[in-house]
Amino acid sequence: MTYPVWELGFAGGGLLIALIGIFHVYIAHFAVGGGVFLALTEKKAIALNSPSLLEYTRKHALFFLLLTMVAGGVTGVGIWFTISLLQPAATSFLIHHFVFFWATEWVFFLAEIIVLLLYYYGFKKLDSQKHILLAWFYFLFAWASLFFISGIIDFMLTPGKWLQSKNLWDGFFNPSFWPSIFFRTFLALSIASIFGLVTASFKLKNEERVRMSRYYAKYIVFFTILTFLAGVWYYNILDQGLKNYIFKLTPYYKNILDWFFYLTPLIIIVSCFYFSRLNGSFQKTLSLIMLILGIIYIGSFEFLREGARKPFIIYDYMYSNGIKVQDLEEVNKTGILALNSYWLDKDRANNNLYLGKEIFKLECSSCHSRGGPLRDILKLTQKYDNPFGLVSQLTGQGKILKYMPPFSGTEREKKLLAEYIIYGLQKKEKEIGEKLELKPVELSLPPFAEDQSEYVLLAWNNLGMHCISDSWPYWVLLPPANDLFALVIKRGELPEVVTEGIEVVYEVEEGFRHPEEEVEFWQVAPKLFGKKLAPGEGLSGNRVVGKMKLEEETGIFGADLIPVVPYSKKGFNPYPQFTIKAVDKESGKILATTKVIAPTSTEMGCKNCHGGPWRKKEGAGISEETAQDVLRVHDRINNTTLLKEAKEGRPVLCQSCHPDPVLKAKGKPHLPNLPAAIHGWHANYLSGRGSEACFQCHPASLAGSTGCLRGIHAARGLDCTSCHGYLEDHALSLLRFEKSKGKAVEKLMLNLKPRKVDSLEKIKPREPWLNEPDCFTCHQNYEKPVKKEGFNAWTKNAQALYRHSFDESGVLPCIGCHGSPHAIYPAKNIYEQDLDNIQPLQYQKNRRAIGAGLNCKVCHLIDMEDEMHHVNMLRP
Amino acid sequence: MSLNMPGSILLIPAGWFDFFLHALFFIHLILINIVIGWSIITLVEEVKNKDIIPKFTSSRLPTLLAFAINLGVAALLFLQVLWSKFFYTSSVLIAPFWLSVVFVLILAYYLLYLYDFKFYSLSSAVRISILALVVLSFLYIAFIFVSNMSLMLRPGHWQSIYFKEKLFFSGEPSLLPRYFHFIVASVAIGGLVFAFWGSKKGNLQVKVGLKWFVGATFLQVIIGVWFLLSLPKEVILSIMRDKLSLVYLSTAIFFLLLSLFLAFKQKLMQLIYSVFFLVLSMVLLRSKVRFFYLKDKIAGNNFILQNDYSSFVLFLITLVLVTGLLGYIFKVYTESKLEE
Repeated sequence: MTYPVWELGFAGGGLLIALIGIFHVYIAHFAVGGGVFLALTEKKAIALNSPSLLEYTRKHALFFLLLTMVAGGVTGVGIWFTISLLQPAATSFLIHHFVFFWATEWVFFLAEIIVLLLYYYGFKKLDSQKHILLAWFYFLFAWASLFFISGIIDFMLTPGKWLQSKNLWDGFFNPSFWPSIFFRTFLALSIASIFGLVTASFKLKNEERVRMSRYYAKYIVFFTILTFLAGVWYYNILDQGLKNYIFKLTPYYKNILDWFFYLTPLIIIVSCFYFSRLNGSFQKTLSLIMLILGIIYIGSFEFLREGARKPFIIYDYMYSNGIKVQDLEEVNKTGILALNSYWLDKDRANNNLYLGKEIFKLECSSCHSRGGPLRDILKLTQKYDNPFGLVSQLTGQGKILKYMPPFSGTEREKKLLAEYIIYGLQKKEKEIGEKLELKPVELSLPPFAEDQSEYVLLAWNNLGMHCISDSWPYWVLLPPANDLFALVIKRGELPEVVTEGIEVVYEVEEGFRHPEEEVEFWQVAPKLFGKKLAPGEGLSGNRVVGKMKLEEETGIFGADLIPVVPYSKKGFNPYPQFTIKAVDKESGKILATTKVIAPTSTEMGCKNCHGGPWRKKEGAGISEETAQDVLRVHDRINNTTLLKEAKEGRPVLCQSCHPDPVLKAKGKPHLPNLPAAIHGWHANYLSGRGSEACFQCHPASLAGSTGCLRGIHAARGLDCTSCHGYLEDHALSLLRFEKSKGKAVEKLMLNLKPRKVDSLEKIKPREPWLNEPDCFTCHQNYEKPVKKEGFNAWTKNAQALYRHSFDESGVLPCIGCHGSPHAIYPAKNIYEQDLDNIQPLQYQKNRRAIGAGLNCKVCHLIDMEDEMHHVNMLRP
Repeated sequence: MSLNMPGSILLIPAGWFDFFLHALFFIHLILINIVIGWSIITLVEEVKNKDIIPKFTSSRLPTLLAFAINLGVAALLFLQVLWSKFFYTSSVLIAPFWLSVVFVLILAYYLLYLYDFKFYSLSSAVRISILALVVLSFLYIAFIFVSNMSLMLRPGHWQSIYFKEKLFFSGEPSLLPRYFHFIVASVAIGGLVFAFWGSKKGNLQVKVGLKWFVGATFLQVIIGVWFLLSLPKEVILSIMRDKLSLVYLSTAIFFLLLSLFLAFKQKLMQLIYSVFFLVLSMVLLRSKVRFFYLKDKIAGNNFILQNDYSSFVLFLITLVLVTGLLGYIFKVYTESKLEE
């Protein structure tokens, strides 16, 4: 942490250590196994009394000496140099703990050199028995150095009991020690036989070449099988969760595991060629191919071993970037820059890009290259167009998916890093913070004459904030489906809700009448919903123009799942206006007319983190790129193949797996419901934020293209968090409910800290769409609010929801007079101030709830004295 | 400004590590001096078209290099225990150069083998080219090593090098004299060892070898003074104030003069002893100088002593057993006279 950083740019991300390391281990394993073959080959030559075979042994020994002692030995030092340059803190840790194990290994290394030199210079000097004994001694010493170095390498992967005991021997004889010793021993013998095959192919002729090749091939087959078996043992030592994260969910390592897996039979098969008589030059070529297969084999193994250690350099003790697990809290508090201030250029202390780059060097460069072949940060962050998405990624990193360490540092540092990557590395243009230009809409009020009109027609939409996901042909979260309701009241001293002989029709404004021309929903609907819909027909058969159905019990007319979309020939408008008419069935006379908007937005900011542009230039809609990335990430995390399926013409409805009450979808019952899953996952990435976290997905921001949070509550300074809690609280309330149903949601909950309350236990579980904030939490007894905090007090059931509640007379639905949720009168719409206030303005020429301000005459024709709808309503 | 380096554990008291560091460094130093000295001398003799030395050294150089590297690795291991913070930092600051040493070394190593194996089949010009490349490689490696070992003593220079305000070898007055001191010492030791080793073959070898020794050692007197004076004032003052350092320094001067005298007298065995003590006192003085450079900074060098001797015992037992085994192997080897 307090060492300077050598940042390699292109060659970063482990490329340098991988190149030196793999080259070294290949030769080093050859060195270990080679002693055995020197002994065996020489013995064979003596037994066969073959001077040419003996000469071959001598030549092989020279090749062996030159390769293992020079290139092998010095690159071993090279690994040591490299790790101390790239991971000084970890190297220092290892040296200080294992210095005498290294020293012991060095003793064997020295003995190895001495014996090898004696062996080579001892041809013709020693009698064969003693000479062969030297080869066995060589093997013994070489194997002993493997023994000692393995302990240290495997300590890094599985420190085991050392983590608690801090006992050196616990660390050395760690859980993966023995499997690794067997694995590497067998591997060393296979590799030595491969090298034997190469020298035999090049240095021997005719019968001897064939004989020796078969001899080596036999050993390759035998030891490769043993290597594989030891590999399986090795693999099974690893933690199950880790195997899942790294080898199943990380495509990079999954591929390498596949390589390793398939190379085993391939090496065996190619070796089997040698059992037949091969042409000389073919054999030479084939032996070189074997040499290459061998290096890929060992290389893929070493990559897997290193990968299995992610995100640590010493498992559970020190992260790959050299930050100790135990220091994380301090780094978060003090800041990574402050802790490394020695290496900061004071003259550039105000240069954000410089600071971001320094953070990158400290935290990222140990694993990520800049533009290089390994873990290229440019490629990995390409999809991010703004620092927000990357900050979110950094926030969530290491929480659920464990293959990266958590970001360590302050919030400011997180932002500096994100800005450096976006603006400094990706060279993306800064998004200009201009407010979107909205096309104003025109509003004309329907007629109403206080002294003449016989009827009052109330109409509403039940979800004041509503989105559709226009990410077809990839996935659908919410189809175009808006519910409208109406209530016809016959005015009089004692007004009554009338239904007899009346029908209510609705009609969307001009321009929105052909949603099928605007979106591709109708192409994907049969596959997603199993229904063949005529163009323009909604999921329940309703269209954007039609007749409402009467619910006899309440006298409310309704039309559900109207397929209205926010697109028209004029562009994006999330508030299409519907004209509602009450008509006398017999005469066809229009009894009353009103208007209501059906909020329907596509301003879902998936793009903020998943990349891609908005689908519509007005700042809404999910583009193809965004939609694809959502599936790509889902596939990666959950081992699904949704993107592939979507590209093959089978898009996915989220609720086909995740249950969701809003669509009455059963899904796969063992999975968390959609709201819990989606909020639970994203809360890990968006934690620590206020309502802007909500705005990333819901169209509530006044700076956005919808501004859906437009009712009186917004005007009074309340935001999403006031009623729903912070995203973490909100997610936890949903997750706790799922947990109580026995679903596996712990991993989503583990890193979420409640913010509105001080402990997880205090968060009340809630079922989405049914347990929602309750008006009475603040408006006790219909009074002015006693507080502005609605979190954690949920409606008991669907009946208690605001949108399903009635006044005390049981006749008027609350929503009819007070307006839609999130658009409670008086509301203010960013497209046209009064777009949500049509009925109050139409009937009583103010923007307040129907009847408010002593406007009883709207229905009653006279002023009333009793507060029959609810107390506290007769106020000026 | 604080270096704020984290503390590290120390298994057993620092003295042990100091002992192994110096013992192994001493052997490494002698070996590497021979390798570099011989390479230079051999090159010069090749150029002069004289073959007494090349014939002798060519077949021995690769093996000597193998052991020089091996001992160097061990010394570096113990250096990293005691001086990790300083050593790693300076290494990172010169990282590309430091790492390049590995590859240049492999090149030089192979070239030495080539020189050995093809000694009789290559033309003199090719041999000279090969050797010249070897010498250049060694001079480069030595320069990087000396630079790193100097830079680790100079925390005050680190920031400006990290911020690329200056080059790693600039601004260190003692760097060049230290480097030349080392190279010239290599030639002297190389000459001496050739004289000693070659003495079995005849008196001519002794004469030629000692000529190199004496010439280089005379030059060393000048370079030594230059080196000493190039040290920072505080370090020189610390030497002057520290009795042990003064003993090392005066011992070194004494054995230096004695060695020159013995060389003139051609008393080889005594000369070897004298140079042994000369190098030993130099190594010990060097250790003192390192301490004086960093004594203000060592305060932050907080080791947490564990007193855990278990792995140390493992090392010692291994050392004894393997030495025993090697002894047995040597015995077997030397007793065999199959074809001699």
